[in-house]
Amino acid sequence: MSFAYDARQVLSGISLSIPRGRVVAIMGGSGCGKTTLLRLIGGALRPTRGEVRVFGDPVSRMSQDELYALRRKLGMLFQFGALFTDMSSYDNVAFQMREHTDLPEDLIRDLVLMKLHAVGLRGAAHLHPAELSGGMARRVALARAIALDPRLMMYDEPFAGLDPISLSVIGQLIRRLNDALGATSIVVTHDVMESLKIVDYIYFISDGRIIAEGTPDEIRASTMPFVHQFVHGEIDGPVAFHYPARAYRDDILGERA
Amino acid sequence: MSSWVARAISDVGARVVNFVWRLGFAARFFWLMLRHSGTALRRFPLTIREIYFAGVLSLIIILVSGLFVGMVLGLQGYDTLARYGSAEALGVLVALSLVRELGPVVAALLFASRAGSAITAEIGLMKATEQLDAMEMMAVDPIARVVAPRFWGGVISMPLLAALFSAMGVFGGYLVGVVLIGVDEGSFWSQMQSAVDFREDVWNGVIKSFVFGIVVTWIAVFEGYDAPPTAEGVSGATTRTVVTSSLAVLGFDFVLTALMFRGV
Repeated sequence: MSFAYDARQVLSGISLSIPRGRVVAIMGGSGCGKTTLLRLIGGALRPTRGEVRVFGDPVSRMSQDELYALRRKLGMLFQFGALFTDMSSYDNVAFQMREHTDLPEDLIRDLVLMKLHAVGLRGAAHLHPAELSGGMARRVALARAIALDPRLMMYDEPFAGLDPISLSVIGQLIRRLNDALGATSIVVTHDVMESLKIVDYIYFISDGRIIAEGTPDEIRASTMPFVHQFVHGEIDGPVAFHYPARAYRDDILGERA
Repeated sequence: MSSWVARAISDVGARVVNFVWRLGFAARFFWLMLRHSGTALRRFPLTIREIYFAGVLSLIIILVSGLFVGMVLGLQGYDTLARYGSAEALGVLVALSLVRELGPVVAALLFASRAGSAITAEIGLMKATEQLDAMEMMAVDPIARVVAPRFWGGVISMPLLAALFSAMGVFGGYLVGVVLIGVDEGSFWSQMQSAVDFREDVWNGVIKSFVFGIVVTWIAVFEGYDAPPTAEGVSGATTRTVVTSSLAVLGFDFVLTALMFRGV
């Protein structure tokens, strides 16, 4: 499958399949098209070429109603949580239950408290997003994403901007919730160390293509220059430190451009 | 020289294309909003919440402004009418000015700057912080859940605010004209009662404020929804809401006045 924003090619010839029950990471540098891939899976964007299938159904050919029916089976954690700022944590988690089900309010209360308990924030049910730390907001957003027990969970940079404890908590929650719900998870991230601890399989994307894939052990042992640079955080390599420019000597000593 | 001219022409062309594109998008957005109004009207508490934010929270500015506008009308009106020995007609002047023109127009301008800007900023920030995307991913249409209730909240609030503005204005005119200056109270009220026609004056004023409510709230929700998802984008959209809706109110006022009060 390929995707382009107007003239800018973002993904070209990506082909991957994610088996049920697995936690799979999509990795790559900033702006490599990872988030675009999630949007394509969720049907927010349509591929310019090829096809995206979720649970065997082609997302790109779905009508609005079919897409909404599919999305009820998906959960997505946005990069900074995207919690509704005019609602408490409780109401955020209850949102989908109230929108999509006819459950009585006392049953919704029990379910919301169970979801918040699963992320350790039952005591923060009454707090508004502005009163939560970054890590707590991410956990409430996670509780909201699993509100209707999704079959496929998508995580957009779940570790961005978190302290080491929150980072570990989110990592463990992704793994535990996936196994407890019997779901499938796609984690888009550039946090190598945390991801390698929790995922089953990893795809590396660069310049819109999959350039490497494998289990965490295979990735750790990889000698491929890009993967080696990425995993070890080396500042120079296939991903150059310097943005392309004319020769330094010419810039300093030569004629002014 | 020729390249400068070509660039200027292409710049104007790009602006025109952009303007027409936005106009088309705004029209399509209006249609979508109407189509998805079912949720807003069926789940009326969603709309009542927006009536509170757009209407109830605008009450102070509307009531205080109405009072002062009426008091100024009382002063200026008395000054002019007294020259022609018809100061008792002050009630008519104050009431007609308010229910026909100043009530709907000034209330709409105040509504645009108080509630319209808040609606744009709120929707724009929801977009910038991915709250609208999150809603879409949860299979909830943001136009039905966020936009339509705000639209109907504004449309319902506007005529009520304009009516309250006019009522406060009449009271302001009474305070200055009757209590302060000493115009005869009986003439003030009875002339007002006999000269102000319900269908011709009051009802037309209500229609005006209803149209202004649609225009202002439509512009506010559209600008918020279309705002670039950055701090600069939201601030620009908020400014555009106030400027565009104020101009639209004044323009529509002329057109509606021409249609309603021809030869009266």
